[in-house]
Amino acid sequence: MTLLALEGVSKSHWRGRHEIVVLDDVSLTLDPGELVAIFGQRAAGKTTLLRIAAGIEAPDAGAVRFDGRELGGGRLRRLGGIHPRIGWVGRQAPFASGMRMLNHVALPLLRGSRAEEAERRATRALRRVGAGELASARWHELSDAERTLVTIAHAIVREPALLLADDPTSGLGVEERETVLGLLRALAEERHMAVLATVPEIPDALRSHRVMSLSDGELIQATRHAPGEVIAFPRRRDGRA
Amino acid sequence: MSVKHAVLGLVIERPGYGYELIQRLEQRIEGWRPSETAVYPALRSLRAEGMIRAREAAADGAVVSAHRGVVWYEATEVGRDEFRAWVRAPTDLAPQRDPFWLKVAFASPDDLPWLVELARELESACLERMAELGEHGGPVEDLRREEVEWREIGQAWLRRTEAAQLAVRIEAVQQIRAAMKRAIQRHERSVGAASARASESSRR
Repeated sequence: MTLLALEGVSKSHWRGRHEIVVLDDVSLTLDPGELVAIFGQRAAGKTTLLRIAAGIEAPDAGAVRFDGRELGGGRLRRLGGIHPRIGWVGRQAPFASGMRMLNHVALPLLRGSRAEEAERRATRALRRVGAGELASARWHELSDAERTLVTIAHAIVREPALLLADDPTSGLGVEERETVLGLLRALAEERHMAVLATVPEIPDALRSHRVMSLSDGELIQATRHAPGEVIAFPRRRDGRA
Repeated sequence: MSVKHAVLGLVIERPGYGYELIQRLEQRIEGWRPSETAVYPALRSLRAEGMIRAREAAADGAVVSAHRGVVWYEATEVGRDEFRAWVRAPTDLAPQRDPFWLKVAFASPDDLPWLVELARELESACLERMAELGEHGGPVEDLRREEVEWREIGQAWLRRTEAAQLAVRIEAVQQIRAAMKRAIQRHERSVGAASARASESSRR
């Protein structure tokens, strides 16, 4: 069953009268239980793609369906949040700088649950990502890798169905990258979560179930052609339909 | 690395027959998939050169193979010597022979739309291969075990080298695809301008 579907999504940014095509007719589907990695170089449009998948940004054309319903792109942002069943792993520092990590991770729960319950679940999330000992640490005391783990704990504390991770490996060493992607894969498999992660380097994608790449607005996916299959060339005359 | 040396190496490890050797090759060197059509000629030529021989019947007269009609091969002394020499000899850098770049180098502007599509196909195939490599690959930390076998490391590095090469290829293909798309647009503009000039002059 498809959890997330992007259908013919296009998005441009404008620099004066100059149009920069960020996403050009991008389609993809994501199932629960799988980690999909999207490789793209800097400024390839990865973050825009994730923001559109999260419903934070609206596409110029095309549709985003989450769990069978269309995500009102852009609307959520105005309402001050992201869909409660979507977790976002970004690079943002905690809301208050002196905060203990347990409270930071518990924050998304505070609106709906009692403080004790929120702390219990936050502790569990921190332990799950292997950062249990960081509960009383503060952001400025953490290494980049630890910050990434805490950010993942923050994103999964509400037990989302979909996890979107914006370059979670950037700035990390080889072993730390393995740890982070291994964790994302384990979360997908154990919790039947759909995980979409962008990666700045292709070898990171080795730990994912599927790999795609984004460049020049186009999303290319791995396709297996049957031997001897005749492919109609060219499907598109240039980049555009 | 040639199929011949790989096949010889396998036969030296232990005798085998064609189909079994293909399977063993896939297990031993996961990153590398020789086609059957490469293994059989390699066996024939190794045999012709006296590096391997068809295995003889056992002393009691029974054929060693349980499969009737299947030819088992074992290495000869010549084969072992040759292989040892090859293992110890310096290795040249393998040349890059990807037909795609040759096509790009000699393409005319009219070919570009096809090459753009081929670039997408090639990138897609690279991604598919990446996914396959990922399925086989264990985590890096496995290789840091004290008791790790050196052959395991060779196998893992073969995979990682291929992954790195795929990564570079994907980036190159992306760049060239974007450049070709821009070239198509320029070409269309200049053709458009030329035909506009032509119709202009015919009106005069």
